[in-house]
Amino acid sequence: MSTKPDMPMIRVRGVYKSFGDLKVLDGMSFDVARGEVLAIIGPSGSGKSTMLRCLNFLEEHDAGEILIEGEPLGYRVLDDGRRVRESEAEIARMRSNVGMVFQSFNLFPHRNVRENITMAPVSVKNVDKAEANDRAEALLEKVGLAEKIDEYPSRLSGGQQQRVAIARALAMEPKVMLFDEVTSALDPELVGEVLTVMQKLAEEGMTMVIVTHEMQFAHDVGDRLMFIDRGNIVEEGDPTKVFSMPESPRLKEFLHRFSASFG
Amino acid sequence: MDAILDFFGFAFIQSQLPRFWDGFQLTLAISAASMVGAVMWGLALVGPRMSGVPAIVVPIMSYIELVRNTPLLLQIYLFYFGLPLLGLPLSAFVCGVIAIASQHGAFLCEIYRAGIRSISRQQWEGALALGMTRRKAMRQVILPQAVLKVVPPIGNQLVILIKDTSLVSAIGIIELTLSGKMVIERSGASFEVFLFIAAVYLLLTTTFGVVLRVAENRLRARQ
Repeated sequence: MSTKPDMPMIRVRGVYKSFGDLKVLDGMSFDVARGEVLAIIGPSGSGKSTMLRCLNFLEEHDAGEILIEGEPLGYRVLDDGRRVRESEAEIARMRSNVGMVFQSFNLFPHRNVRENITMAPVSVKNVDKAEANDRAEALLEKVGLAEKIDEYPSRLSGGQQQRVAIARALAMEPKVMLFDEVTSALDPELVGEVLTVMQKLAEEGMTMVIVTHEMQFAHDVGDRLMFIDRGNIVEEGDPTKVFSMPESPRLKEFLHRFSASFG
Repeated sequence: MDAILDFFGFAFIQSQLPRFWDGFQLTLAISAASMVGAVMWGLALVGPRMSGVPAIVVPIMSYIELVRNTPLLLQIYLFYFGLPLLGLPLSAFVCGVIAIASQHGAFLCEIYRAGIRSISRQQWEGALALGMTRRKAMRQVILPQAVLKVVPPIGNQLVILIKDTSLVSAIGIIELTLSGKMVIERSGASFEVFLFIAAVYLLLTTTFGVVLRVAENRLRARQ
């Protein structure tokens, strides 16, 4: 598979998505450059999580196109406009390049931390077991949980579980990392430890798309900020500018509600 | 004390122990073989059963309903007398094991399915997001958790399986029940013998139950 360095890491073109009668994504188009950190904010029900989940095909877009490094995700659009669903193996292969961290951690409770991290590299990418293990140790070191390698997830705090989940996603050596409200389920005092790990990742040049309610974090870590409402991109740009000079009434109102925690 | 022992035919039973022992061993062998068969057969069925592809799901559902809703005794007869007609003259032992594993595997499939459905969508998503195919996710993430959740009903089913092995006496396998019947035919001591045999089954099933519970607790303790 040839990757195309001239293509953006992620290209979203005219993506629509409905759940029944409810239109969730109303023709979204944007790019994410290599190494860029895109923060997506918006009210609940705005479609921001759905958009993120489309980026690894956990939600299937009804129309439009999503390209990861130029390769179509999930559906291939033919010259005559017909869409053909990719094979399951191909979808799995594309997903293995896109790491995802969930609000609810989704660690595997029947496996310890080590196995949670090594399982996918070994079974999906045929990484040698010893090598996967070394990588797991290094990643746990990185997220500050080296001593927890033999614990089971239920013995960890929420913040620790989420850091393991980040290490697990990184073990696949993804080209992009997606974060879906990863601190929303955490006690306030545990939010910081997760954000610190994410900030470190961003500084290392990882391409990241972050859906979050942490406005300060979006501001500090995001290279670009995107405000989504009713399935549309309402405003986007430099975080400082967007936060300090919001143009649309909807963003103004949204930020006003957050002003207690921001600014 | 002697009178009580005599009431239960203690001395008589003792004299017949070698016959019962042979039957007991056969019951153990049939139970073990059918159990392994049923557990594996159920696992083999549950993936296709949940595949969502009508061409696969409908035949499997039909099979499951068929074997669950007809008597096991009839199914044992069908295998024993039917397979030779198809040019497969298998031994009574093999036919009995196949029939039992087939029916109990169908029940187990439905139990596994309930377990699988109880695992949250988030676990699927966690696995799929790591690049696993549905098959890999099922095998490595969903099924191990699902099976643990349904250990009690699986245990129930396997206890029923142990008791159902007595049905293969109908095709001439001299397992525990039939060995008892043969002793009765020779001696007429039906009450004593049936009571003794019932006690042996009870011992077998309760021992099995305890082993299963210990195993379950060990598995659970790790999480």
